[in-house]
Amino acid sequence: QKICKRPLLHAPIASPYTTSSISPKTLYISPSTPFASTIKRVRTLLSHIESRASGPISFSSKLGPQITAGIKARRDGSKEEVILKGTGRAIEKVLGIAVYWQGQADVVVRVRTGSVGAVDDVVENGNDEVETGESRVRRTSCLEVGISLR
Amino acid sequence: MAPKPGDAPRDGVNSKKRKDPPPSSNLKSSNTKQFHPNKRVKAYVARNISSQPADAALKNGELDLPAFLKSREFEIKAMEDAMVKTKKSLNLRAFQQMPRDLRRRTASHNVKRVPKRIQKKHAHELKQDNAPLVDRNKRKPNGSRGRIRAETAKRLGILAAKKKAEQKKEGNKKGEDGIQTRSPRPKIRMGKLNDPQKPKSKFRKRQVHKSWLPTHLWHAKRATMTEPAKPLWRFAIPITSTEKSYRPTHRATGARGAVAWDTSYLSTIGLEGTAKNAEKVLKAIGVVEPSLWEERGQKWRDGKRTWSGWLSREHKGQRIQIGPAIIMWCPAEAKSPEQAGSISAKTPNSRLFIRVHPSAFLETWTELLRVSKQQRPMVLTIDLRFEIGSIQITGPGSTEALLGILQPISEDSGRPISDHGQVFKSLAGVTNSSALPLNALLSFSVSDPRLRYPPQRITLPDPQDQNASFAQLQMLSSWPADESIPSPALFDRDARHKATRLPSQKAINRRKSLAKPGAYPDPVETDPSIPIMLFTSRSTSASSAQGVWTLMAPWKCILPIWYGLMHFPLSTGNNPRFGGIQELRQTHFEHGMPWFPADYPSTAAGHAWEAEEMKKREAAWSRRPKGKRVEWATVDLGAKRKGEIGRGWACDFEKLVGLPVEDMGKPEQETETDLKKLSQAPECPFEQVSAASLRAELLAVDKKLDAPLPPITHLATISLTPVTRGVAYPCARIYRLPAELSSPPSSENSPTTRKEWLALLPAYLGQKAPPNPKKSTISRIPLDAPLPQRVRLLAQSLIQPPPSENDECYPLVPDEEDLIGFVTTGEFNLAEGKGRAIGSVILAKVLEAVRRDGKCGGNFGRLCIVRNAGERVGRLATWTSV
Repeated sequence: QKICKRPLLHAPIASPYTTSSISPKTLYISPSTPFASTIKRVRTLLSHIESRASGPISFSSKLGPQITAGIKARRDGSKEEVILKGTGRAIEKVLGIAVYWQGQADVVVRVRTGSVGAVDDVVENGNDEVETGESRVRRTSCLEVGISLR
Repeated sequence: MAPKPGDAPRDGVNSKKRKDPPPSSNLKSSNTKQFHPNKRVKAYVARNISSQPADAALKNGELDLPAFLKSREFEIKAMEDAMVKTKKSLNLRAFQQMPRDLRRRTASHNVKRVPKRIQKKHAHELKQDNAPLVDRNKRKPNGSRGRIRAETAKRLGILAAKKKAEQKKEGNKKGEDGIQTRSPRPKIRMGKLNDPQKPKSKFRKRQVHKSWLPTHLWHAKRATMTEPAKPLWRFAIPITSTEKSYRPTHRATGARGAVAWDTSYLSTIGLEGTAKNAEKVLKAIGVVEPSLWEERGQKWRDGKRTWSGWLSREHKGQRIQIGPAIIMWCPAEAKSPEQAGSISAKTPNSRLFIRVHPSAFLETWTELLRVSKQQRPMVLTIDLRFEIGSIQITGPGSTEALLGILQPISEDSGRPISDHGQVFKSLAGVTNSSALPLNALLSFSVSDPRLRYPPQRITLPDPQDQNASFAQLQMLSSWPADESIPSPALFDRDARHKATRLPSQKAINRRKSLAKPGAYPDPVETDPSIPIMLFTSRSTSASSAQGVWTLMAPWKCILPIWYGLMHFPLSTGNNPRFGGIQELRQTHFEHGMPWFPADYPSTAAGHAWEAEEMKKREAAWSRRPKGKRVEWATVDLGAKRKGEIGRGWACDFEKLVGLPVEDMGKPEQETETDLKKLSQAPECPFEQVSAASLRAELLAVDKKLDAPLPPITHLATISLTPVTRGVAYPCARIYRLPAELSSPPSSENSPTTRKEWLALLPAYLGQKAPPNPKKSTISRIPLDAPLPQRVRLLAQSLIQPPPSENDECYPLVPDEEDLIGFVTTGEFNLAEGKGRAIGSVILAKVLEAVRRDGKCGGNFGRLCIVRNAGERVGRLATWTSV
């Protein structure tokens, strides 16, 4: 007999263009997720967050006040976060990415721990796997890293 | 009235089709708004790339590295920005500013054909352009086709008027005796093929040699359909969406959204007989796994799970694989206590459904008929192809969409909703249907989806609420649907027929208008309940992949469900998308799964598909001008080998096995009906080896190194992943690694050696790559080298290009004896960001390779070389059984 895991349930992957209050910008990291592309993806999401916070600029009125207002709004506005999540073997990877971001001057990194539920099936380990009907629910620990602009 | 300055040239709308000439300088002052004086400035601003002088990063004559990097980063960003801005500043027209997947060329001048939000702008532009306006109603038909069309329309109008008048007369008559008759329930013949229901006379001519899916009219406007004269499996099937880009569909299958397919073309066969005989029939068609017929298979036999696997048939003492199928049993009715006590109660017949692909239908049907007639008492075989339709839906939003449109109701008024309906209702928040138990099946009845049209967003549980989500996981784990008996209504002909007698749209609209604003109409007793079955299947064994929901319902109920599904507002935005055959195939491919029939060329259905594809590829090749197409006879494979092996446009297994090639030059008689063609399809000379038996063979390879090899006609399906780079396309040739030579090779008799190929393996794969004898790279820099020499060597190694396939040292592909198979599907895989392929290989040759690898103690049996048809370069790839 063997354990067969069902997938961890998570919210659909958010569109980068909506505000985080509607859909949090969460990246789910797996052990095989490439490191460099994750960094780039976080950077892109952060720049989207920045441009959302500063608001649009129109050419019809004076630019100077608009820009200062935008900068102020970005400083004072709610700190939208890009969240990285990983469980199990991926925790190490998430930590590695968190350490990279801690080395960057312009962001704040918050590391949180938590747990998520998971379902396991017990299967017969024969020629091909046959469900025995037994299954269990467990909690597995999960590492969450929030990255927001300073 | 004096003409306005802007209107000056517009005296006759139709007399002048050209645009205005560019404004001369003296006109500029009068109409500044129209000709964008800011355009030049805008373009200049957009194209301007801000940069920093390089000496800004110098600090006291030294390079400040962080500052230098920062300024380069800024410059790269500025350049990217400028690129985007320039592109945008050029996009002046409304239809140029649309997302890529919404752009169109046909009738792009038509304001009504562009999305609503840009219609106003588009209309304004057209007015400025003085574009001729076409009024559809006043347009005269031109050309012979248009004339014929107009004549037909006229005749149809007359016909309709006549019919209306007749109906009026009849209606008066009916009023006299007060009796209205309903059309009778269509007959279903047992043990014989059933015809599709007679289509409306308006559409009858178009469905002579094929049938339409229930959603045909919807799909025909939005998808490329099969050609009228060339239906697929006797159906008009959507091939692909007319939208231009695939990537949104790719996102909808994995990241957010949902993709639905109308899979009503899949054939359903019903079996009815005693449980014992039904079991015998199933065992005869290859459902032999012992676990199914023991205690463990009880849930399946109770109609709470489905079984999916391969069917096979007996032929001259051998089992021949037919194709994949899904089998579900009808749940046994709950016995009331007095019924259980009585002795005379006859054991009710057990019923079951077998769902197969239409290309394998006839084969399955004839075999089932043969086997079921041997049983005493006989097992009835019922062709339910046009009785039951189905919809497949996948993606994170699929469960949500289904919840939004399917409203479980109780079958008899007064009773509560069945447990299965309740379980279904509690699935809100499940974003991946493979989180359900494997092959879970829910059967219940739903109300008419048109009563709740347009569908509204459903309330999803808060994902932050840990307790609620944990409780839901516990529900998914314990699966309370197992405790209750599912509804057997879909197996019941009467229930199915009652469900298809849906009230007219008029009646529904009347009820909707009576309902309070914002509320749905109240259910009434006469509302038909639609029996449905809903089951999940996992696409791969990889746990994180999205599962697929399949909804089975009576054929005529598919259309209202489909309308609801396509208009359901998902919580992540947009509606579910729809897919055609190509999208279905592509999602299978992205999960690394083969798709029946295309990826199983050794089954009869797959063989027929491959023959058809081969014809298409050959036609496409021969259409190209001679200078631009691959000349197969002169393809240089190196080492004096000329010419492609076999036919370049085919997965030429016949050549590989040494069978005579059928003459494809003969023109076919098109007058035959397709069914006849199907039965006369050339016998498939190959046999499919299932993935399980391939795996078993590979596991046992160490034990029986000298056992006899299987026949050369046995093919297995494999999935290929390139080791480094390269994309394999259909018809690519798959080679095994050449044999290890005992004596050092002379360059003449063997074009390539195993060592050369293994040298291409990157080091991270864990094996120590043997040095390539032909390669002349710079070796490691010696430790004792003086500094200037080290620097020079380092620079040299940096400048040196990576080993290229055009190099002299790149290994040549092996000889024809090492050719083991062909790629059937291959492309760039968006899910993995690199090439991927699925192919078929000859089992005997693969086993030979693995055995000889085992003998010399290597671990490279899973390596192969893939070469695209017509190319010289082969790529190293690993293969796995699928």
